[in-house]
Amino acid sequence: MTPMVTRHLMIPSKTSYLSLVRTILGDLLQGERVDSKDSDAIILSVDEALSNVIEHAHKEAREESIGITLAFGADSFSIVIADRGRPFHPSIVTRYEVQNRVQEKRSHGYGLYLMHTLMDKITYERTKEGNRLLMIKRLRKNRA
Amino acid sequence: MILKLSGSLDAHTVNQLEETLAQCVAQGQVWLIFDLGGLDYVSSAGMGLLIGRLDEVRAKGGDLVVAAARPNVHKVFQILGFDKIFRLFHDVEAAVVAGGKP
Repeated sequence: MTPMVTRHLMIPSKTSYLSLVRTILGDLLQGERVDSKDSDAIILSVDEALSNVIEHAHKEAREESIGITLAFGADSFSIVIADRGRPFHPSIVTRYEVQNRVQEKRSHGYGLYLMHTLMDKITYERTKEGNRLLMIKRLRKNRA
Repeated sequence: MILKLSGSLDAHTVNQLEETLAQCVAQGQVWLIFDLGGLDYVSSAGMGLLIGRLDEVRAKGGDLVVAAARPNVHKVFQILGFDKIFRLFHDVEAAVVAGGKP
């Protein structure tokens, strides 16, 4: 059985840190020999989730931090993003809804659709500490 | 006008491009070719910016077209269905030839 590899990260709730998270995540995914398409999907979904926390949950709390815990299993990747901001439920956006947004040339509302499309499972929990988002991605088979 | 993007277009860097784009449109530049050859990452923030200006430039007789998107960036256009709204070209030359006037 492949042992579970976990990593923890705490970042300031600022968009200027998104690039750093993507770089760290990319290196970890590469180190775990995750397929590049899976890696791209995970990085984009995590970036979208963090952007939502910074811009919505922490809208009036710019000095807050965001906790990130990620774990690599034998055939899956999971990540928990935790914040102490206002409730922000990552509702499912349907294909129909996103098509309407595109037709209307709306400039917002695409991030959640990307997350739900690219990840295999997303669960949200409002705890007494704040928001807790879990995202899981099944990984392709070319890992060692 | 050709706008050459490089690096990442995310929720942080989008503000800079938003200003540039607003200035272009305010100055009457409505034929915009976005050269994405050097862009290695785009998130929904960047995508939202591009589509948010589309009606405006088209209403003024221009267009905002996209050229040379890398596979991972092109994939985001496809997932969101933006490839059906924007004219996408393999390179800037093709965009110019097809009438996406620089």
